[in-house]
Amino acid sequence: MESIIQNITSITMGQIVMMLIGFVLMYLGIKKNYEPTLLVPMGLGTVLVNFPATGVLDQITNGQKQAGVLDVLFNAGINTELFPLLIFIGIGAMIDFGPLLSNPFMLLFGAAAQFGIFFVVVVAVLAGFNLDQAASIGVIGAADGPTSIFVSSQLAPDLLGPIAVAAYSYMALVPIIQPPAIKLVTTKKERKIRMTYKADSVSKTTRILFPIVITVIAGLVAPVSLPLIGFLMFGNLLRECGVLDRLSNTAQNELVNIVSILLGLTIAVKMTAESFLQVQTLMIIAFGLVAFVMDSIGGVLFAKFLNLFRKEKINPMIGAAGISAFPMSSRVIQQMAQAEDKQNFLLMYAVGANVSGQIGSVIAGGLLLGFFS
Amino acid sequence: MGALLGKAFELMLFGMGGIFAVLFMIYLLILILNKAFPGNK
Repeated sequence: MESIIQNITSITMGQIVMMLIGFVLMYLGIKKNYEPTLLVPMGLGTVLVNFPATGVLDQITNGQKQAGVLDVLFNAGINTELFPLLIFIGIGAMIDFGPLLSNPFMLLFGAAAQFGIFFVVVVAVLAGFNLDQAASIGVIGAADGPTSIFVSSQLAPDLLGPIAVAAYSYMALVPIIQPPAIKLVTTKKERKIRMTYKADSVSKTTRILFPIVITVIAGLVAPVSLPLIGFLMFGNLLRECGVLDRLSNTAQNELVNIVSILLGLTIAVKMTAESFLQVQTLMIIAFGLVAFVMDSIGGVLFAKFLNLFRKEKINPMIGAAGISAFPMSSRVIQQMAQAEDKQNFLLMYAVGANVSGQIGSVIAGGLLLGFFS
Repeated sequence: MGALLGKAFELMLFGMGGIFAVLFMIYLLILILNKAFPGNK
């Protein structure tokens, strides 16, 4: 009885607040269906790591350091970058690059819609963060959880917790964040622009060669991004080669599921009261939102810029689909187009831009790391 | 602060320039692949 009372009284106010945050994360995942694969394990993990004197985290007992199970997983899976990379194999196996291969022009939007990353780097520096931290905060704008974790675990591991929370939360909130940002920089007339879908069919050979050649190009021009691109493209090769369906299915399902469980729980190592409850956490969460908004605005403005030179106009909303949050962003664009004009079908173009965003975000992550290497 | 801000802008130019360069290269590559191995018309 005495030890129970001692356990209860040793919990600090900060730890109670963090446990409440853990409950909120679980609520958002379970009740609101916001990225539950990450937020639910992360929520319970947050509760776990905020109990004092448990075997969950490393602790000093009788002058000796005892390994905690989550620290063991963190050192093995996140410090080594293993978990985010394994998830990339699954993501690669899930992506159909067909809409992009039949409309490669959409690739440019995958570049333009990364603008938020670099905009926020400047904003974060102005707010007093150092450049490594600013780059890690900016990468929330990649709209790509594994890339955010991959980059921030190398550049600013202390900020990993809030960065992961922001990245995954805003990805789930894309349908709420993007429409007002897009409306801010487009007119009703622009949103009504129709685009006739013209797509050539893509040969099997092209689909197989694409991941192989991209891996080679990434190795030559952006070697630091090769682990990210290489694993993504390996997953896609499993999907497209036609003889590894079993492995492709495993990568898309079992592999991603197992690693997501471990990743969500493990990130919670950085959700302790002392590392999370700081003013900079609020700033990171605010800057993450700015990054998402500026991604959308960057993509739309780039499309409008291209329209200055094109006879056949692009619906500028397509530009905002160049973020990595797939398939939410392309769905948002289609819904917005149909809200203005029921006969406007932009989905396939938006999917092409959205898939490009997945490549663009990975390359952005690689370039950020390359800048500091 | 000035030097750090300069570095941040340098990162912005490096990053955006790099992404456009790499994705443009991939764009050209896809055009070549589609030309070399056309799908069914």
